[in-house]
Amino acid sequence: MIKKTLQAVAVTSSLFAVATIAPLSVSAAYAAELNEKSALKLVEGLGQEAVQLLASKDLSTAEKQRNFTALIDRDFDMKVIGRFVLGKNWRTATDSEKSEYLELFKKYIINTYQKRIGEYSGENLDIVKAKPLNDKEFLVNSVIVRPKGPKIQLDWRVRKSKSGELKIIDIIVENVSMALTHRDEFSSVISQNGGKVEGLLQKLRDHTATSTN
Amino acid sequence: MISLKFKSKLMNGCFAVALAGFLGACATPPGQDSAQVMNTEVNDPLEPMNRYFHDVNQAVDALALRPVSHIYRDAVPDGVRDSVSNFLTNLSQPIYFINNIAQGDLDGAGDNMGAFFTNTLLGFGGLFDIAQLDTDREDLGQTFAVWGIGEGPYLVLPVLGPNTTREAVGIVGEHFIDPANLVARNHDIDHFEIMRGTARAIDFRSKSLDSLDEIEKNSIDFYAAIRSLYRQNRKNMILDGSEENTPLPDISFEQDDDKPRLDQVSQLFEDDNSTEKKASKVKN
Repeated sequence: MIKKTLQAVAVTSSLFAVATIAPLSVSAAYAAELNEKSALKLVEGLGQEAVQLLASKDLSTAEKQRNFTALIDRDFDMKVIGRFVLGKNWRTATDSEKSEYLELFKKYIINTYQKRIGEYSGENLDIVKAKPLNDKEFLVNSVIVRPKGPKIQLDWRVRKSKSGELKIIDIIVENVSMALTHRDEFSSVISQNGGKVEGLLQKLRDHTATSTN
Repeated sequence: MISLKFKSKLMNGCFAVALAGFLGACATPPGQDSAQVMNTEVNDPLEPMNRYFHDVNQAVDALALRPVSHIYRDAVPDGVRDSVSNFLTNLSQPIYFINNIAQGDLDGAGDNMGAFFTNTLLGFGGLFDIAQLDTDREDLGQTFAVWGIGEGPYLVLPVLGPNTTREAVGIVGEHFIDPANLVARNHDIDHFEIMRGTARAIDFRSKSLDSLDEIEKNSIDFYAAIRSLYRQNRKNMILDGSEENTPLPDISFEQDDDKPRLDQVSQLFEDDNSTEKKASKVKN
């Protein structure tokens, strides 16, 4: 008798547990899937717009540059990337150095990648899939298909910012992280200049000045 | 001005990369005060010497490898270049096979064997890639890595380019065990390894003319960029490109964690001591 009651209690309580937990986990899974889809859409949209923009023949170089900057601003979290790239040196930098750095870094990135993407036009960007990395980051896998030569694997690290927007925080080419490469490079420049952020700023100033001409 | 200076320094890293192949990674946090701190943190204690050879290699590249690769790419038809590429890969299949066995990757080794026999017999000695197995480059340095040997300090070798100490030892080892070298030695083919190395360098360089030029042009410290790219790529090769295993850099982006207090920009910038501690906790 007692055994039966206990069993019944156990069954009902476990049913209850399932009943309350199941919808929770379903909705969590659903939310994750939704985010994955929007991460995918973000990259897809950006890819199309960027290639279209840079391949367009109607726009002047200055207009292209302006529109490309707008795209980057819209889809990339430049502040997060910039700070990651500066690494430890962020802490030693003064406020004015920080703000100048962020500005120069954005210019530097735009110059660099505008050229890079401009050269890729004519090749296809195939978005493959998105998968969650943790509760607020996703990795979107894509492939650049070239008429000649092997495919290039291109992954986008997308992160949900505090305001809930999805923003790209890293591009990974054949498992090589661009953010990490820039970070290694920048910290080397700083250490070559006696650990002063100013040395890096000077290099960036020169570089962005010469490459816009 | 500075970028011009760097432009002239341009190619030595490329050349290094060209000969050694593009290799692997290490996400060490960058240093902050002196070059020496930096050197230990990125495991590059020989940086001054490495930078010297980087410059030397770039000069060699600018004078010889780059122009030759340009001519090769522009004057030789695609089909012929593909065949050269196929032939060189096929020649390396036996050593890839040995390395895959040593790494315990039997599937990979099977592909190497299949590709070698198919392409040698049906592909006219390896000129055509009939098997289409898409085998990866496997060298002794990667095998050492799979065995758990650490990569050691970064090392730029004259002519051979970016390496780590481990990969450099691997290169010496392969000189002795690569079946292609053994066969060449048995048949008294003179300078086989030099010819093969040169062919590989031109093959690689002709394929990477645009991308390496571009990296050089856009970098503010080409040496450091190459070092980072080499290490990351090397790590990728050791993991056989399986993205599942490839650790992403720890962009637990230390500043940007979940707390709503970070909504304000000024706080975001000031609070890194505590956030970094958090980030390292997450890491561990």
